[in-house]
Amino acid sequence: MTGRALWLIPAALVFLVGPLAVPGYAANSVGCSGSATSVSDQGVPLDKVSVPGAGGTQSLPFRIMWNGEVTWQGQTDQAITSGTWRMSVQNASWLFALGELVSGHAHGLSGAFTNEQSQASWGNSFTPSTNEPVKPPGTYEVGFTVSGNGGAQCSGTLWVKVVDSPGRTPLWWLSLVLIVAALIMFYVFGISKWTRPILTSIGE
Amino acid sequence: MKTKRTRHFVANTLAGLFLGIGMSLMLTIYGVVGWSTAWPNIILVLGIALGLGVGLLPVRTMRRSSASTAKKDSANLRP
Repeated sequence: MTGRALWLIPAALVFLVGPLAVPGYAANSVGCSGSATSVSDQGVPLDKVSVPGAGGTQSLPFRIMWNGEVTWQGQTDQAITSGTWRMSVQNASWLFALGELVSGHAHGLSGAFTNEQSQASWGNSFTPSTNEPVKPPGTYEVGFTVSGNGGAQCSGTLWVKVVDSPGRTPLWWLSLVLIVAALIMFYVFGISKWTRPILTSIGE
Repeated sequence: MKTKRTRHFVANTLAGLFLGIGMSLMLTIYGVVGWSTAWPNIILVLGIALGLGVGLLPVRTMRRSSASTAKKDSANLRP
């Protein structure tokens, strides 16, 4: 049975690597374009990105801070009078998906809007921490979709890196506790196999 | 006589799971690997695989006579 279990490991690796091995495309969008700037939690300019554009890639992500303001402006190819919007993390790993599930945001953030003036240019600013319940730092691929009731649509993706200090998140302490617990368990149950051998009589 | 050889299969696999989750979280929050990549999952699976491997390894055995002889010898060496 344990032999069969070992075969599951490479099978699981192939299963996991296949669909999630995402190449680092530049920030892209369909049906709209725009740009965004970010500042740190101290108000110091941090980064800017244009969508579509060369930035916003996995290797050169758009840097933000959870408590720093992000200002954006964009234009849609068609006027979207009213509809819905959605923003979510793409290809989320198991752990992040679990966090989203626990926090009740399994499908990301979404909302509705009305645009009675039929404007095609938009702009606003927001602080990410006020919208997102789970705030671990790290690099994310973020996807957004705006769907108008008339059928007009705007969608795109870009890579975002949250540059907050890792030590400030409870996840840092959780991971530290898990690593220490694992090392202790390996020492007690694993290494003791070699350091404390079982004595057998001759002829056994 | 049959000796009970405890491999601690479950405990070591659990340790591997903890190590996998811990390392995965640590590397993602430091931005070494992205949340939207396969790496957090791969590190998790590698941790479990390590735990399974350690759990499946047999317990080291030593012949009682040689162990007792070694004990005696080492006792003689003491001042």
